Amino acid sequence: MIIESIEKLIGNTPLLLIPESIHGVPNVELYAKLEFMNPFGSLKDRVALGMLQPVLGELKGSKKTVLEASSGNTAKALCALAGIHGLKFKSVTNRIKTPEIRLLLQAMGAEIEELPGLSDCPDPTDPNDFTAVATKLATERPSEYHYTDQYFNPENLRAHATTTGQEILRDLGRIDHYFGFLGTCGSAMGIGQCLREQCLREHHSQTSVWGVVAAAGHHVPGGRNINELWEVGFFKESFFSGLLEGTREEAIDGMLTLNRKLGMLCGPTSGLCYHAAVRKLIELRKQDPSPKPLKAVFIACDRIESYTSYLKQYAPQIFASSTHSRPRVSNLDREQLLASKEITSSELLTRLSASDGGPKPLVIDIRGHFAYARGHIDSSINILDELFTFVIEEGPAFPMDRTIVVVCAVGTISRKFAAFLSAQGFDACSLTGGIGDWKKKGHSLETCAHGQ
Amino acid sequence: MPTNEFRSTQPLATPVAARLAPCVRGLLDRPELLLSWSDLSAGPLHLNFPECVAENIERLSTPFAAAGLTSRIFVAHKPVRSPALIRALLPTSADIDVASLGELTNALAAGFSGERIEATGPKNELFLVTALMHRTLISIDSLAELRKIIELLECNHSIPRPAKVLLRVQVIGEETRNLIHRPSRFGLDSQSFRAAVELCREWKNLVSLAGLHHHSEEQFPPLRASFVAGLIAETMKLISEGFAPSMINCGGGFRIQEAANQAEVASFFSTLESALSAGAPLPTWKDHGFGLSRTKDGRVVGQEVALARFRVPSPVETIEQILSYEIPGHRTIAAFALENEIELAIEPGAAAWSDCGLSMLRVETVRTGSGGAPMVTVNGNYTTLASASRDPFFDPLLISRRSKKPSTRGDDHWSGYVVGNLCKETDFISRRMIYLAETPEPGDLLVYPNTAAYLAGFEEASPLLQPIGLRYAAVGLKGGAPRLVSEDSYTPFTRHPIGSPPH
Repeated sequence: MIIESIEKLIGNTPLLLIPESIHGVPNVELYAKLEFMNPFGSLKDRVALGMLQPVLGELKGSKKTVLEASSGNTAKALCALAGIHGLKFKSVTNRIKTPEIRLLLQAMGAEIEELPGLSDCPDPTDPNDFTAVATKLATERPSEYHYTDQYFNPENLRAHATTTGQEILRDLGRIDHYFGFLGTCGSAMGIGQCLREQCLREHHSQTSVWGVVAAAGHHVPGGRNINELWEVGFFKESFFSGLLEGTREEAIDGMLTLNRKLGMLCGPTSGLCYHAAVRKLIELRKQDPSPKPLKAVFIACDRIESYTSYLKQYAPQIFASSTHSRPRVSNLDREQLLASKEITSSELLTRLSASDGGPKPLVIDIRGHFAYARGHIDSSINILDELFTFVIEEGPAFPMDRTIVVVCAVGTISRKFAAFLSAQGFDACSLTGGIGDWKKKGHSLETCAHGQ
Repeated sequence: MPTNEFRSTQPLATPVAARLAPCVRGLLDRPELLLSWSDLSAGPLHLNFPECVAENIERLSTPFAAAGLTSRIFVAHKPVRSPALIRALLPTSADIDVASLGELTNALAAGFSGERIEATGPKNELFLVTALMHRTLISIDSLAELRKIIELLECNHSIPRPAKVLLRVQVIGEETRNLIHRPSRFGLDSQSFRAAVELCREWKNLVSLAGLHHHSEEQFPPLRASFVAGLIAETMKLISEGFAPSMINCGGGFRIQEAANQAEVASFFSTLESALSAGAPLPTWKDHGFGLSRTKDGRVVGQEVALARFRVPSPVETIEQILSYEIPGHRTIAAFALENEIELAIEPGAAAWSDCGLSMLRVETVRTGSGGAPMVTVNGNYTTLASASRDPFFDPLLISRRSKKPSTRGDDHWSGYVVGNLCKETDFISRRMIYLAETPEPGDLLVYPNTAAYLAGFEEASPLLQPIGLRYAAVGLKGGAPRLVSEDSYTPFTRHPIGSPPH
């Protein structure tokens, strides 16, 4: 298959039929529209194309920068499209909380402006709202910027009504239930509108359009929570058959199910949409257990890759180490810790300056490089505590006949390491009171130039 | 499912219950006591609780202690006026941050020695001279100020030297991001900072560069932590240039949750936003949008002020996030501070004075305003509780004089506005339509908890010669025998006769 522009790949995404053995709702055909299969990774590719296509003729050669108040999928898609057409892209946004998203945009060449958060001394004349800032920029410098304004641009809705919605109808015919996550609400309302009208006209059936949203206090990146809906231009509560709220945990749970059981590498909004859909469908089935099959669709909006730090923060148990059997510095038992030996500054000084020809103790300083450079015990080696953990946990790292002395700032952390090494069979001890005590006793420290 | 709730002419009020500390709950169980105390004042009555200060300081120190760090907690004097509260800090490990000659004088009079005082903000010459004579730590707000200090020391050998200074920086660069910062009038920009460092180098005999200071209103903890990391990076540079800085001051701005239930605040804003969107009257004084507004084509734009208070972690959690933040390529902030013997300092204001006071206003009249909104006029005004930029964002508690009981939430309620005793349309106690469990009557008390910081009498004046609020310290709260004492004579120190057995 040969294409001339990657834009041609936007849209025409497949529908995946989720097996009943996974979703567990009897007599329901539940489909996921795989919007993450769009070339830039999300359903926003359609919106970006829809917003830019009508103005491309005018923009090309104008040297205008495409401007959008978004840091997420819309920004990514606009940035890609702008690049294809030789235009620059700028994003004006609130503090970007997810590092992957920011790094990706920067890699793609976007210019980003992150606005300050709210102040404790609020200034009523201070328009911190990021759409206001974007609007202001576009109004003040119209020859420099073209503001696509996704929250209010009718092309947002239209792209979904004419492409996404039509594709679903073409593939499935009658749809009974549609579940859409609410962000700008463009997709939910554009698709919802299209499905409703057509199903009524051709099949004389009512399509229920459900808006899925994060519950108050829960942040599911890629969409809004229940309290943020009114800030969005398209949203009209009366349009929806109902609003379904879900928690962050449910979003992650749904996301992992889709990823692990169906190979759908999608993000948390897809997960929450799935979770909410299944919950609603179970409820509906209970109310009406008739054998008539229901056809339901939800959108799998975007890809998992932007959300690894989100998962690390909110589902850390996924990443917990599974190698519990190995002895670890962090897993020392109380007895081993208590058995940790110590050496005082004076004793260490004596042993280091002994001239009997025997091997001197190996002194390992586990502080940071900067502190080591400022002052360390003569002949000590600097190995950062995290790295030292790795070194000694992997296997015996020293000759068995040397005494190892572990040194830290005040003598607390070093005890753990000395205890671990003792348990491994070494003659290991920790410097009582650490470098702090060494300095207090007036002993000398060596310095060296610090690398940075 | 369209709703017609907004077709009515009256806006909907939503309750926002105030968070109550245990000692305050105890007081509220003694409504007759509160009623009789309130009669001591023709105007409002502000109570402060010096005995509640120590536990706040203890709580703020915990994350530092857990990391094995020495910390300096410079409690901001600014949010409070009561000498009782200031003296209550003396036996704690906290120090004090003063932002004027008046505050410095107060702190010294209370018993703080110069070593426990940090002078911050823009300083006039008398403030500077007094701070220097008492050997306080001085946070440099501008290049001109640093020059003035050097000139004073050069010309007057009776002033102790070297002066210990922190350089307050405006913006910390983050090379990998284009972060727009709210412009600030305080502190040194990058050019002035470099010039200040040079002055410190040139006048090493007069001025000792003790460290760096950055105060930020930033509420997103990872960003706050990255600012501290930025200070650390600058500190490392200073050390390699031969200076010996020993402190990094992370500033204040730690938010306290004022409402008992975050969801209620969110609910208020939902109601506000849907009313705005529908073009209906708002549950606020003169349709104040709290930062939100409606454009001609019906969009809601802007950003809510005050709601963000609840999207941030507690002060302790913020501090923990700062301490555990990994400086790119280096250690955690806590580990770095420990190994390099750097003291981490914070300047809590509201966080230190949380739950240390309440204010009582007496209902004078109950009426309806034009447009049908119910109102109560109280024996105070906008200077009593509100400050220019914040008003108490929670419902007061009603104590009925007739039943001598605090009212509890039931099915009935009253909603309306609490306005002041001035002949002025903009004199309101809160812009938000409040929610009380029953209809107030003249003589009833409205109790506003948690007003010690920035609310109780912060900007109090007596416009129209209306009576100013009286302030008393309330002690004995924990022992169940609360009583009022003069806030001017309260001390936190007790004693027993010599030779008597220790308790």
